[in-house]
Amino acid sequence: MTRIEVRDFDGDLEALAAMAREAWREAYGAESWPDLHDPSLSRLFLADVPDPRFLLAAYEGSRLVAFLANLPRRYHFQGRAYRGAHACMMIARPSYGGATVYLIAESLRRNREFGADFALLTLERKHRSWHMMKKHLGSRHRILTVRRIYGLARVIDLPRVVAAERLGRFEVLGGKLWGAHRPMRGSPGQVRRYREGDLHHIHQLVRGVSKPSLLVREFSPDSLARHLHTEGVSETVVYEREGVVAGFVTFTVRHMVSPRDRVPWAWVDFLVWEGLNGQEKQALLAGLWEAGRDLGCAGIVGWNMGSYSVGPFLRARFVPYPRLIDLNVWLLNPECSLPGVRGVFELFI
Amino acid sequence: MKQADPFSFEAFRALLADALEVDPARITPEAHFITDLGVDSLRLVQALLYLEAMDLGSWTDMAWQVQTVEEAYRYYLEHLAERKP
Repeated sequence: MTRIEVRDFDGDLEALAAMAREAWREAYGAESWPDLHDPSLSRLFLADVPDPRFLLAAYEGSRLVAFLANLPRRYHFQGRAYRGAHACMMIARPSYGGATVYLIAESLRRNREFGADFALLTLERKHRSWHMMKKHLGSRHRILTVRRIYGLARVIDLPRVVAAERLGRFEVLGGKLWGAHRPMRGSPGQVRRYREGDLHHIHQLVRGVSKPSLLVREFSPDSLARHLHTEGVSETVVYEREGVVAGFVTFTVRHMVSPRDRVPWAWVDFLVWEGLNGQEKQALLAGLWEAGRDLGCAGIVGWNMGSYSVGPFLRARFVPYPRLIDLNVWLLNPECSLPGVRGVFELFI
Repeated sequence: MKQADPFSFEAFRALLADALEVDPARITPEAHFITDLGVDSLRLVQALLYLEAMDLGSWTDMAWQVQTVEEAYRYYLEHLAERKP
């Protein structure tokens, strides 16, 4: 009998992507699913990992059967610094779902070694892993729901979205009545793509993010630069005022895959625009729309983590996306409680 | 007060079958929870918490040490022995 062994991930991102695609295909059948483990995305998201202990894998012999990234992060909340872990990208080969329990147990052990105060994790509501965490583990551990996240979507290329997502006549009609298919127009000169020279200003903006209810991630300039622009994977649009970046939005290009197609979408990863007025916010969103179009994306998806208001999105004809995800925090340090936490800046799904 | 006798393997097997929602006939000593019994994450956590509730230690410690029925039973007996005064 071959045992399942939990050990550090061997770094084979192609094997990880293949396993994830097999799992998503099995779970979603004819429906579209997001290719969240594409090697280009994994290279970006896992680039900050300082130590192989933070990438956990379950192997049956030499075959990868489950994976969990447990990314170390530094956060601040209400003036206090915390060590956290972002548990993400969990996936298992079909019929090996139980191996994720091994990975969760091992990540808890390693988080204790690392001295993490908490772990953040997102779970799709009513999915089996959601039941596992909320109903069973939640009865024994301090797992809090920070907020219920819903998506916001904006069409760029309507015929492509209709074909790929198999939208019905009434869905298309509703979207058109709302105006979700209309092109958006930016303000040339003030909204533009990110340039290397913007890093300092953007880092200052990120360091200035602060709300009493917001858990804020601290970025190193190197890490931030990678997220802001990685050729073909991530892109940033900035709003410039008097030669200084006053707001920005960053997205990654992720593919929705179905038996019919593989369609790129622009997923908003983070956004800072507290210093912009309503018109400037609309201009920045229009710049996002244009950048997505230029990169061949069929639409834009954003996930509301509580770090920005969604009003400008709705005014820009974004529509709520019918998928609910819980953002949870698993409190590990008995002295840590994060009272009143309602959102996180920044967390990728 | 006299300490209760440990569960026999047969009784333990019946408990596991109940916790895992698996036909008891499939619970052989060498059966692997995942590869042989097809136990998914939800049922595996249920079973581990069930064992934890029997005061057999923490589910996180047990999780990948007890991959087969036989290992789970051995773990149970060892913990029982450790707990005896």
